[in-house]
Amino acid sequence: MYSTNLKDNRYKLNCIAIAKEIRVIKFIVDTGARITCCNYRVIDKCMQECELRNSETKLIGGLIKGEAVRFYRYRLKQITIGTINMDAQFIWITFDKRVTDIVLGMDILKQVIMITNPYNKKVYFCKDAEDFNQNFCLKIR
Amino acid sequence: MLKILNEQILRTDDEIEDIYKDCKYVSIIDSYDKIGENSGYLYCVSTSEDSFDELIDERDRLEEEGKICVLGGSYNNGGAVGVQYEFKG
Repeated sequence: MYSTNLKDNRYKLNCIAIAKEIRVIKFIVDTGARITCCNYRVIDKCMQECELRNSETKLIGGLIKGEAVRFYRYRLKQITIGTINMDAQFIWITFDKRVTDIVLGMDILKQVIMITNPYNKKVYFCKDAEDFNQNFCLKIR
Repeated sequence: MLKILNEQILRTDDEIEDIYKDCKYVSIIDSYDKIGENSGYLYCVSTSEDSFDELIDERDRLEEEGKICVLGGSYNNGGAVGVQYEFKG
C-alpha cells in the first residue's frame, strides 16, 4: 500500500520509471486523464521521434488549450506507483515542447485500488485485494 | 532560468513547491526507498519552460554521478491536468 497527501486539491506521487535509465518522476494523479503521459525528455532526452514511427499514436486535446498534441505509445520496462510495482506498462510520450506536465492517468490508475480519505486528506493505493485487506484501514483523524 | 541551489537541508516536496511556485525542480534523495517520503535535497529549480532542457541536463548529469534525482513541479500549476479527449481520424 502507498499513500500520499492532498495538497492544493491535487495528489502527486513519486514513481520510478525504467526505460534505458531509471528515473524518479513526480506524477500528478489525474483521474480525468485517459492516458499517462509526459514529454520525452522526462524519460530520455536522446530519444528521437523517428524511433517511434511504428508506434501507435494519439492526438489528445485538453493539455494545450484549443490544440491537439501527438503522443506516441512507449513501453516502460517497469513503473511504480510510489512503492507499488506495476511491472511493464505503456505510457504516452510527446515531442511537443509545450507539454511539460507529467500526468498519471486512468490507463494505469484503473489497475490499482485507489481510495481517497476525506478525514486525513490522503489517497491510498493498494496493488490488489490482498494488499487492501492486509494494509488498509480507514483513519478518521 | 535555471537556478542551481545545491541545498544540503532536507525539504519536503510540498515545501519546495510552496517556495518555488510554478517551477520545475530536481531534488536528490538518498535511496529509492525514500521515494515515499516525498522529500529531498533541492538541487536546482527551473523557473520557466525556457530552461527545461537545462533542468533535464542537470538531472542527467547528476544521475551519471550516481545521484538519485526526483524531477517534480509544474510551470503552470499542473495546467495539463484535466479531462483529456482524443481526436479521431
